[in-house]
Amino acid sequence: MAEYKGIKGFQIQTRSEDPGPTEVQPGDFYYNSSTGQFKTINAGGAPIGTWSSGGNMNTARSYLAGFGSQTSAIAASGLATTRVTNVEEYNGSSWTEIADVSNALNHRAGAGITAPNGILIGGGSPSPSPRGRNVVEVWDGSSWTEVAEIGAARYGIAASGTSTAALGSGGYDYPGGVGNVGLTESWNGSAWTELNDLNSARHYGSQVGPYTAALRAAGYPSPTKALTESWDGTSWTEVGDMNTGRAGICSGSGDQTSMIVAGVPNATPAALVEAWDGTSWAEVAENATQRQSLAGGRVSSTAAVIFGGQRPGSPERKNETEEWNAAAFVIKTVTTS
Amino acid sequence: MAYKYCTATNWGKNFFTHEERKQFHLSGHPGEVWVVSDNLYGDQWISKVSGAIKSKDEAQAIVTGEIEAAQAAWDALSAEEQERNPRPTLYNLP
Repeated sequence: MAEYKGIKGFQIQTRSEDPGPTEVQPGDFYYNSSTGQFKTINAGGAPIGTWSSGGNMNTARSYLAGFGSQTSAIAASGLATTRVTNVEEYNGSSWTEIADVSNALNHRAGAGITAPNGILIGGGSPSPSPRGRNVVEVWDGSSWTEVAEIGAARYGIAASGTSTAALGSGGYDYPGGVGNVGLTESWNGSAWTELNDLNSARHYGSQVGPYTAALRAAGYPSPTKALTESWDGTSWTEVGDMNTGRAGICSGSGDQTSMIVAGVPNATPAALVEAWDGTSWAEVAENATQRQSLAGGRVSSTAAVIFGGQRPGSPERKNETEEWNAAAFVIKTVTTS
Repeated sequence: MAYKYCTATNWGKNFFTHEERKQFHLSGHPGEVWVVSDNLYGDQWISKVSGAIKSKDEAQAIVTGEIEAAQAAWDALSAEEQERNPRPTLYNLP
C-alpha cells in the first residue's frame, strides 16, 4: 500500500496531544497518537465565539462610558436613578469602585485600551436643553483630570483611541445646541483639532480603532442606523452596512479590520450581535440579555466585554457583565463517514 | 426547539459559561426570566443556578408584567426623553 509520504512528498505531523494556540494555524493537519485520530485546524474567530457572564457592577446604570479590555476595563458615570459620578474598574472577574469623575453626566464617550489610561468626552446633563457638555476628563490610573474641552458641546459622541491620541465623531444636542452632527475631532494629548465630518451626521453608535484608522458603526436617527464608516486619518468612507440597524448606544470592540458590536436595535427582543471582518458584517452568537445604552471594552473582537445598559425603553438599569471570547482556531477530528 | 422556563438571579461571573452557551440555548428576559433549551445541559444549568421552574404561561405573565410596568414608566417621561427612547414593546417568549 502506498504511504502518504510517497504520495504527498512529506509525512503527516504526529502529536501526542492537541496543540496550543501558538503552535498551529488554520489549515494544519496532524495525527494525535494518544487518541488515534487525524485532526485539522479550522479557522476560528467571531463565527465560533460565545458569551459568558462576568462579574456584576456595583452600580447598575445605563448611558455609561466604557473603555479598556476584557481583563482591564473602566465603567464611568452614566445614569442610575440619577446621573452619577461613580467609576468602577473590572479585572476580568469583579468590579471595584475607584476615584469618581468630577462631572455627573450620561452619554459620555470613552476611549482607551487599558484601564489605567482613558478619556471621557462630552456628555449630557439634565434637562432643560441644551444639555450637551464639552467637558473632557482623562484617567491616568489614579485620578481624573479635566483637560481641554472639545470644540462643540454635545453628547452621544462615538470615540476610540487612547488618552493621548483619541478620535471623537458625531454627537447631538438639540434644541438650542449643535443638533445632530457629523463633527470629527482628534485629541493629541493637549488639544483638540476639528477634522473632516462623517459622511452621514449621527450620534450614538460605536467606534473602534486608533485615531489614524477607525471604524464607526450604527447610529441615530434614521436612516443612519446601519451605516458604517471607515476613517483613514483624514476622511471618512462609507463601507458595508450592518445587517440590523442599531439606533441606540451599542458597544463595539476591535479595530478597523475586525469588530464586534453588541447592543440591540429598538424593535427586536433579540440580543443581536454582529461581527465585521474588514469587508462585511455577519450575525454571530447573541449575548444572553437584551440591552441598549450599554458600554464595553474597546480593544478586541475576539475577547470583548460589555456591561451595564437597559432594556430598550425600560427604566430598569443593568449591572450585568458579559464576556465574549472567540478562539483563533478550532480543532476538528477527521471522520470518514 | 423545546424550551423550559425559569426565574433565577444572575450572580455574575460564571452564572453562565462559554461552555454552557455552546451546549444549549439561553436567553434572559425581564423579571429574571430565563428561557433554556429543554435538554440535559439545560436541566443541569437550571439546577446550578437554583432556577425556579415556571410554565411558559407563568413566565410570559412575568415578562408581560415587567414590560407593562416599563411602558407605564415610559409614558410618564417628558416628550424629549420619549423621543430619545423607544417605548417598550410586548413580545412573546419563544
